[in-house]
Amino acid sequence: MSAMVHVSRKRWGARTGAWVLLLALVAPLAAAAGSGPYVGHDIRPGVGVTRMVWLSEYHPPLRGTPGDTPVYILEGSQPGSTVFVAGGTHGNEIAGVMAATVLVEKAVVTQGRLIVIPRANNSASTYAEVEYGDPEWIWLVTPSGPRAFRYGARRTHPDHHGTPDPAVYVHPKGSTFEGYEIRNLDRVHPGRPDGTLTEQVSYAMVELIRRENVHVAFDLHEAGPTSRLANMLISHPKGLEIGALALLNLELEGISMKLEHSSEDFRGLSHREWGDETDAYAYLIETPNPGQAPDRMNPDVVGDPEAPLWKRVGTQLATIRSVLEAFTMADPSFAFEYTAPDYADLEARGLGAHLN
Amino acid sequence: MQGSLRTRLWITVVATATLCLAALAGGGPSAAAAPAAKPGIITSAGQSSDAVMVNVLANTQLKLGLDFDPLVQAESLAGYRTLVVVVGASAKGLGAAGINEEQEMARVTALLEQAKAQDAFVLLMHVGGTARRGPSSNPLIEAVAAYADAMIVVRSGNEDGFFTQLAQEYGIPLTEVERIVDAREPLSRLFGA
Repeated sequence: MSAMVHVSRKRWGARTGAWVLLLALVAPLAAAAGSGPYVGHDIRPGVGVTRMVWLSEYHPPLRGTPGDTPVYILEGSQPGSTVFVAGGTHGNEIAGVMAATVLVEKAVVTQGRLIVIPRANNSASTYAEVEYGDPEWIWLVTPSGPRAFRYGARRTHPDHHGTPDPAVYVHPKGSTFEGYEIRNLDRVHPGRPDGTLTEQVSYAMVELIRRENVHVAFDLHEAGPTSRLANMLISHPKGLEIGALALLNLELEGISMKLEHSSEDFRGLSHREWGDETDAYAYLIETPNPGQAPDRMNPDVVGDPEAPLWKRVGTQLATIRSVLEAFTMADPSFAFEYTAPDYADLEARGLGAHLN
Repeated sequence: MQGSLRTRLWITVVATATLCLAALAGGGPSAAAAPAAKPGIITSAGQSSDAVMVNVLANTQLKLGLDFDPLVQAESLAGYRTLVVVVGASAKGLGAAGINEEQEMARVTALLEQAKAQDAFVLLMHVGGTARRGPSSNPLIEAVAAYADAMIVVRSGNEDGFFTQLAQEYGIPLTEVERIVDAREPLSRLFGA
């Protein structure tokens, strides 16, 4: 566990325990049943999860659509700041999905709140780009036995989108993209309440960040191993210095990440729009996924010798922790304490051991 | 006569380099003997986020108390005794600053000329590795190296020996470090901290 904070789980009373037990039993069933054409996932909330809501709580028209997705809330016994983590903006960027899943299953918050969405674009997790040999599922051995996790695609499923892709997608703030990018959740932020399914998912996430008064927000991604984005922290300009401090501290631990700031011209990205449209400090983390190499064919997205999944998930978790530690050091208004598996834990025992 | 002049020039270069190397290696722990005097200012050449990393390293971590202005102009350099130039081009950074590569080169060149005119110590830092090398970054690196009194470079950016060649060409000490955080020690020593 991270050395940052020390938490006694004895603080958690019988009431919380009962809540968690109920969630652990009910949540997977609820997810499997869903509300409408929702696709469920095997997520087993841990003792740290105190509530689960649906993203549609922040934008009711999403209810019953493939864009709705569970939101897990981990509340500490002491009041404090709110941290938001989104995995699965791109369904194939599996390290982000799994890092968010580890937080839901193993993190415990003692001060403040952690809000986690493991499958931000749930529609994108309903299909894989099998033409490139991408797997539809990954399997991990966990303490409760083998578990399967969906390996999705980059964009909203075309059948869920409602209308054919335009020839050109023009973001409301002016950036121009290929037409299919209208289904890319990380091109449509801050979304529109009456827009496409993807834009409505984005809108709901921004509403969540606003209404829950999120202080620090993370969007977890992956890039091709040779991409300049691989192993990078991208920060909205207002959080750049804290991001730099986090990366310097992380480097002392042997994890090297590059730093870049959001472009003003490239609109629609989470770190740019969340930072502009809300009070949150917004960050995007990228790790190198062999499943996103341009010439890939049947990539080993779990056991690749250069970038195994445990290492990528460990890097995501360590980067989140280092950024939060930097906020603790540099921002007097930030108060948040938690424990969660970290890079060294995953290196020692693998990813599966840190799931329920 | 020509040989004698060359010898004297060579001695001067070696003596200067030795003094700087001594400072980098720990030979000058006192502020009085430090080659990099205060007040100092950190700027960028290329507008990458690397300058922010160095700013946090130097000021948040090492508490060197340097000013930071990634876009400082030559006319604002008056009074500074040290100029730290963090080199690395970023199209995104240049775009955010509203300038192009030519305008950045012009600003940096004027800044270096001003530093030379007021006898300020110029430290080149390159911390972005291979990502901050190439056709956009290399001309800026060459421009700054021509005026630099010392260089601190993260090793991955010098795998082709580019900085080693520049250090030899201009007779300036080059300190290679493995990681950005490893630059703390040579940076502290340069400032006598």
